[in-house]
Amino acid sequence: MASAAVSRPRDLPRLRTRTVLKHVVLAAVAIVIAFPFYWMLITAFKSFFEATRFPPTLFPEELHLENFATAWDSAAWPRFFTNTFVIAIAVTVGELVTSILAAYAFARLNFKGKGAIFMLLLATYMIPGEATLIPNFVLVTKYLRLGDTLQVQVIPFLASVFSIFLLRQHFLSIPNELADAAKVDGSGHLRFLWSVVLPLSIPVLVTVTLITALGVYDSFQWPLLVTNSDAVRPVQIGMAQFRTEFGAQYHLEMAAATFVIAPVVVVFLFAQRYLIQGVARTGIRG
Amino acid sequence: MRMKLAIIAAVMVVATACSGAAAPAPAQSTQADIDLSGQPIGLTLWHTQTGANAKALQDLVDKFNSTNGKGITVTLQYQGSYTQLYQKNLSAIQAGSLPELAVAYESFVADYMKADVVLNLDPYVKSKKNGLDQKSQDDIYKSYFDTNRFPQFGDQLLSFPFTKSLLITYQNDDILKEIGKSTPKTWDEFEAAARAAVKKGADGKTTRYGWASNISASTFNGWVLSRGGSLMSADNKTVAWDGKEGLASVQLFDKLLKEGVSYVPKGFDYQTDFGTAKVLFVQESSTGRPFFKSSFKQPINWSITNIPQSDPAKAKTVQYGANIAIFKSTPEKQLASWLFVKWFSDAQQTSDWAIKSSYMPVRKSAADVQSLKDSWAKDDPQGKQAFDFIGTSYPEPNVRGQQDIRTVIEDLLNAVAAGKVSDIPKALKDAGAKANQILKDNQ
Repeated sequence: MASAAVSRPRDLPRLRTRTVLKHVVLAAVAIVIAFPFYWMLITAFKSFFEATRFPPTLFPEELHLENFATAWDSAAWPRFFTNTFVIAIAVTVGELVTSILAAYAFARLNFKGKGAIFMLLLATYMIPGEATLIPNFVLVTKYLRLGDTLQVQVIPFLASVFSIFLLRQHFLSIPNELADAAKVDGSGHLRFLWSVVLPLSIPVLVTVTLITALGVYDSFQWPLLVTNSDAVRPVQIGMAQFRTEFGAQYHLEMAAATFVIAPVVVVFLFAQRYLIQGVARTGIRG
Repeated sequence: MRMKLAIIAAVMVVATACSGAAAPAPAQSTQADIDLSGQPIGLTLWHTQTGANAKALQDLVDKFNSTNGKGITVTLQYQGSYTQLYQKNLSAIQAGSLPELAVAYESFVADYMKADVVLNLDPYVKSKKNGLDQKSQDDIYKSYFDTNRFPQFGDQLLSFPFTKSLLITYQNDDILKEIGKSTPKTWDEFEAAARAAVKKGADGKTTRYGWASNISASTFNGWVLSRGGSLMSADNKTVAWDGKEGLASVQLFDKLLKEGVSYVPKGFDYQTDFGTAKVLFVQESSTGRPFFKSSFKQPINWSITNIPQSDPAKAKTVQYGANIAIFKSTPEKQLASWLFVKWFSDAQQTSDWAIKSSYMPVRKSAADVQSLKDSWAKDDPQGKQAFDFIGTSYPEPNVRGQQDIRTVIEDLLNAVAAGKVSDIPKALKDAGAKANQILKDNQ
């Protein structure tokens, strides 16, 4: 204590310098992350000429609000948004149910071959998606006959190894005493899971929900592969329709990107606290 | 007796041979000659068109659906970019879920033929009942047929022209006038004009370039053809662009970049650069016309001309654009698909498509269609200028492996542009060797 008291005046400038440096680095990283969003937003308000001008302008000279109306009229957005929300909700709910049950089993139940099965499950996570894309496509279109439906964008994603792993890590951290106490009170596994484990796991559950929902919201390759008609296609395919072979309308593309990304930003702003907590509690780093 | 038998046998052989020559057997009826019963036939066409082109295509398909009188209904389905469409078709081959028709580049068709899923259109073109008469066949540009014939597959006609265009030069006439030059016909004239167009600001930075040289395998192929070179050997087993014409092309590309006469544009920047008079020449697809026009903040005088040549009397450029392939299905669906493709290539339809999409019409007689003439006269004189060069456009190779060879060429050009190539002749030879290995692997 004495040495700390003595060294305080000398450490103060060093601490200040360290804090300032930390903030400078954080501000720089924040700018790097935020700048593409800023760029998207200002380009969405620019005219075609201003959007393609070099050197570019950092603020729009005139606000072209009509870009949003033009972009909105250029694709079947209401249908695309509805499809996306339906798919995202179905996948998220389904994945939460399967992942919670599987994670609980791996974390708190004892059964023969548990370790081996869990390792096998993790091993499937190492296989790149590109390697399984065509076999999966053949499976769902040729054998399950689910091509060009909403279901084909939901069913293959109802289980996620990553979510199981994330939840298992958290469930392992719940003290055994709580399980013992619940047992004494006459609770079975499902009751314990519902009344004790899940309420203690809200941040992790929100994290899984966000990661899953955002993953579905951003998906492009699989929906493009397995769907053919706008009636069942999601927003990202709508975005792709702004690309042409011979030219780009950046201002319209950015206007569309703005309203496509808006729901994600809103959700993230409200849920970011849980996302950070969830990742921190499971000990997983990005 | 033996002599008599021999004479009789010889007479019979000669008589048989003569009778065969004098009275040919009647043409065999094929699946192209069947009658459609009038039962509804649904067809799906996978395509890549977006925006105004997608709407124009839908309008034409609606017209076909309501007027064909045979119960044929075509449904359009957008499948992303050409590459995404190609990958989806490869997946669909595995799953047995191909559509009846798909837009395809020649290299795609060659790959689909690994699975033998593409319909040979020769019997359909030749069909007395449902085909194209000789006049009609002659009306369609020969090179459009040539590009859809595949030497690796017995010269069969495996696809039909759909979205055709060609490599041409976009030229700012105002700048050309300012520097006192006329439209360059040869590569030397082109180089001189490009050099004269360069302007620098007070700070020494270039404010105007002579040439926006895009990196594209197709453009490179055009440079080789325009210098009198070939892209493939006669037997189609090795590439031929690694010869002196290819070398001259890469060396000029390198020289003008190093001297600051040209630059490699990013994305579609060359359009706005052209529209704001920051560059004299751009070599691009003729279909880019509306995008160039939309980048003109102030009206400018501009025109379309052929790419420079070694011998303008034997001008050659590259033919661009995709085709439609019909996949094997039932005889009825195959014929219905062909009838749609044939209808789409009729003078009126190909003209309507050309007006709305800026692609080139596939028939010479389109030049006589009033609506196209009006469009050229009123809105699109450069469209007519490009149309007049169709006869000089030649297809790129349609051999299996061509898709990968394109990457080899573009890798070379990128390396040159990045200043990473010190020995261009060796780099070109190496690229040729790599391409030949790809061809060998794909035999």
